[in-house]
Amino acid sequence: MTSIATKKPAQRLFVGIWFSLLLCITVFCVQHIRQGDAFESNILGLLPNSVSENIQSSTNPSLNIERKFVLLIGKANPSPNSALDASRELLHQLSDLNEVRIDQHNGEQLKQLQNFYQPYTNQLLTSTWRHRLTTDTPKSIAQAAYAELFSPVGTYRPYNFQHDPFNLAGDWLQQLLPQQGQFRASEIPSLKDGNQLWYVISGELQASPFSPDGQQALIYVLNNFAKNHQDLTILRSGIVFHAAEATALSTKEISTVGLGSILAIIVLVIAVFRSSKSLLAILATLSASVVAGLGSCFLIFDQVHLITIAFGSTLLGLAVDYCFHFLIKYRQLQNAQFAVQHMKKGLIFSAGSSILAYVFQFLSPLAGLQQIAVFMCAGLAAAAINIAVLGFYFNDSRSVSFSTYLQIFPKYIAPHYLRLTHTKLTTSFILLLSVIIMVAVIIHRGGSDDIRSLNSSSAGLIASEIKVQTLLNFPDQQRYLQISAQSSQQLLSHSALLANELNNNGVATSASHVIGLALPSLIQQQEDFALIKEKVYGPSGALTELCKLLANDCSAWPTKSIEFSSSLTPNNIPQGLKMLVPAFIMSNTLDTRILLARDTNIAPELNALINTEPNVLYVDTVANLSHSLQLLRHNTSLALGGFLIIFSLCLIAVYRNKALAPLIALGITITASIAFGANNGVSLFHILALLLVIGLSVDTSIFYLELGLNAETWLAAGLSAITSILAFGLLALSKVPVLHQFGSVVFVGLVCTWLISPLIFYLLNLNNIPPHVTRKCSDE
Amino acid sequence: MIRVLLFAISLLSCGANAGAAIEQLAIDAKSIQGINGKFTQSRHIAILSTPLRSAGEFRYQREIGLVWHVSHPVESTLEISYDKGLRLVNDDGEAKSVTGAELLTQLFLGLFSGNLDALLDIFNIDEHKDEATWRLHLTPKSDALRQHISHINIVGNNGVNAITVVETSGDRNEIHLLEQHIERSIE
Repeated sequence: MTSIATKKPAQRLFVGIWFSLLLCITVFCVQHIRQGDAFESNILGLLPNSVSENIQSSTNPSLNIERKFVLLIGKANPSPNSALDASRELLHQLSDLNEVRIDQHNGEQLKQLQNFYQPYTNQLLTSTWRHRLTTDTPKSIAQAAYAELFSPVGTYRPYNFQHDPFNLAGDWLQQLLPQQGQFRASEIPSLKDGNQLWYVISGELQASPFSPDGQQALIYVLNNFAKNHQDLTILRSGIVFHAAEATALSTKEISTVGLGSILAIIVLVIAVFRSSKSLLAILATLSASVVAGLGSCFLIFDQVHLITIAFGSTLLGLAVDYCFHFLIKYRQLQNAQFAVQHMKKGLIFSAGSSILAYVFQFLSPLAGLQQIAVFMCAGLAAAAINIAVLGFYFNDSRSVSFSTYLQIFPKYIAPHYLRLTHTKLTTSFILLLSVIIMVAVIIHRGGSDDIRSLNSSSAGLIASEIKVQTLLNFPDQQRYLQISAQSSQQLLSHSALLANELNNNGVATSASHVIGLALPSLIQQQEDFALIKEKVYGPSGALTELCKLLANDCSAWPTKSIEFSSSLTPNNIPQGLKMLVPAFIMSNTLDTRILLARDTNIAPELNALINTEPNVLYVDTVANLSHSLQLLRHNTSLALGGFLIIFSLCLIAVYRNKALAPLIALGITITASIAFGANNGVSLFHILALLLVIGLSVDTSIFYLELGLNAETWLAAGLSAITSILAFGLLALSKVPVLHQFGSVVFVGLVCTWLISPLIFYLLNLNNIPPHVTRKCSDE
Repeated sequence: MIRVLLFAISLLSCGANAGAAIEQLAIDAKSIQGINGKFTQSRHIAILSTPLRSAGEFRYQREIGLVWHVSHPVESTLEISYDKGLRLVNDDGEAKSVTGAELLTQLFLGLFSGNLDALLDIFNIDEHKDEATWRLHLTPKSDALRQHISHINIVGNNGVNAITVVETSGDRNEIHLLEQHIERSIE
């Protein structure tokens, strides 16, 4: 037995450094978490940085569009009173939150927009008015305006009769706010949808929607409100609700996978080893793994994605493998240092191959996967180091034999494998045929790259989001035309011309979504000014004709005093007004986006029009992201193929002809993992999961090669497999698509490795204890 | 399209503090099957030295809705019903829907039918009732509406007699319902 007194100074130093390091990392992690914002739940964090940056740059970042949210509170009841009272109550509760700012809907912003455009009312025309002033006579224009004055349907007039007698600017302003007409002017704005009346509450978070604090405060209030008003329907729209669902889901997954793994480990250790010291050794190794994984992530990344933590829970299942091998070898040899020496090569190769697989994953452009790779690499390395430390100190006097468990393999398992080796040719043929069929199935299914399949939001929330967007007439933010120009004035002209062309092609675009219509170019403003000056305020203009009809003194009207102002340019739009008009949100100085209506069909004629327009690009974000994922999948598959070739050469170099066993087992495992784990087509995440399968499969084979396929190694591999199968099996049940895809592939891979590897060893007659192990055992 | 129907908004008026006057209106309207009558409208616009005066007829039938016909000085017709909403009828008799006028539809028909529940979240109502006459003073609940409408006064007895809409700008619109012939159901 090894005692503390007999430790070499170098060993003491090593152990001292290791525990000091772990202590520092633990303190660092605790401090980082206590500072807040240590974790994030943004699904975009999983995508390549270039792609997520592209999505996030779709709007002016200073406007914080992603923080906005909308709630619709409704009750299908002829009397809205209860819904109004409840909405008022919710409004007050939300207004009390420090993390949330509720939109006031007091008309102030509208007033600001009105005031901003007031100096320019005589140089702005809607396309309808432009057409009328061009084609109609002043007299007919005056007659129409006169008749309207007596109509019971009075037109909305933001500027008074004296300032804008024909309501030219009023109509122009109105086209910028087309959605205003659908709201009722109730105490809390509301809108009707058939018999359903919806009260609208909107606002924004003071911090990122992915920040748990603000997110949780809002959700807490809403959930309580929903609980107390079960007769009401609450529709939610906004990134914050999707982020909150993702957070809740990830937290649940972390608990499920983590707790499941730990419970399985504890049960297995108690059942097999029946020793508190063994349990302590395992818990110490797992703690070191998790602390090292988390600390490394905090060091490299500002925030750690919750999906990283959820996936990282599987680390427990992997790290415990090394402990099981160590503890079984310890029981066999009754000496910790000897046990470590025996498994040293296997441990290094096993941990090395897994870490290498994760290093490869780290090289992928997916930020989320890079985090997972760092977490797992550091965790596995820490587990391996901790095994070395156990070699110095572990001492368990309670040497309960687990001969019962050691009987399982020779008594119940090995005979079956032996029987199969008697029909070697048939077994080999069946295996080959199975592989061919599985490959055919994989090819038949093809790829699955639709980005929408990664959405973890519930069907209810997605339906709610769509309902709100439809009721409020929000355009499709995923599809748009991107226009670029060399100057801001050119951008205004081009976008207006393109909108006109779109309308001619049957694609209706609201003026509020086209920067060139919301803010005409100076040339257009000058043309409109000239038209207004002549046809409205000219000596024989429409105003003179209207005065005759009204039989009134019209001297107060600004007949001759109108002037052109050249200051209505994009640079002069106040920041506070930009949120009111979608076109302002979607525009930068030299580029803009025209959002398309949800039902817009990109017909060939429209496609041809877009293709002929220079500096115009049709963008379908969903299609583009899906295509990016497809490209990543192809590239990753090629890189994985390259990695497998190099890895195989390394195995052959180390193990010569014996390398055939791990390689055949690996080939079958990989094929089966994809065939059974990717039922809806192969995605990028299935391919990346194969890296884990490779690491785990090689782990098992290496231990069989190094220590021999016997009762002990099979038991150790079995215990490891059970914990990992449980961890990844729980992951396969995840509702987070990425985790589900990973879990499914690795789960099948683990089961396959556990069953197939011994068979291959038997078929290749490698099921004997290697001579070097036999020799060492006899020496000791 | 934003349509603030000034006339109609005056009719929008109904109250959260529903009391005797509104109750009286509801009782009066409950048995009404139809109303035929005339109206006059005086629109006072600050810049004009004399008000704009118009006149016409209206016809309300509980099952069909309301037809509002301006006959002088220019002709125009408005149809309002629950199923078709608010529509302007042109010279050829073709009806064109007015978008964004769902609220107005509720208000028009609510006033004539005496059922004003749908409007209770829009206005605060003060009411006065003399022996025969009742008066409603309506003020918008929302700041946004308050930027356009200052208040609305409705006077009636045995039905609505006069409506005055005062805009925030100071302009106002006065409507008088005259010569009303009411058809009541036999109970």
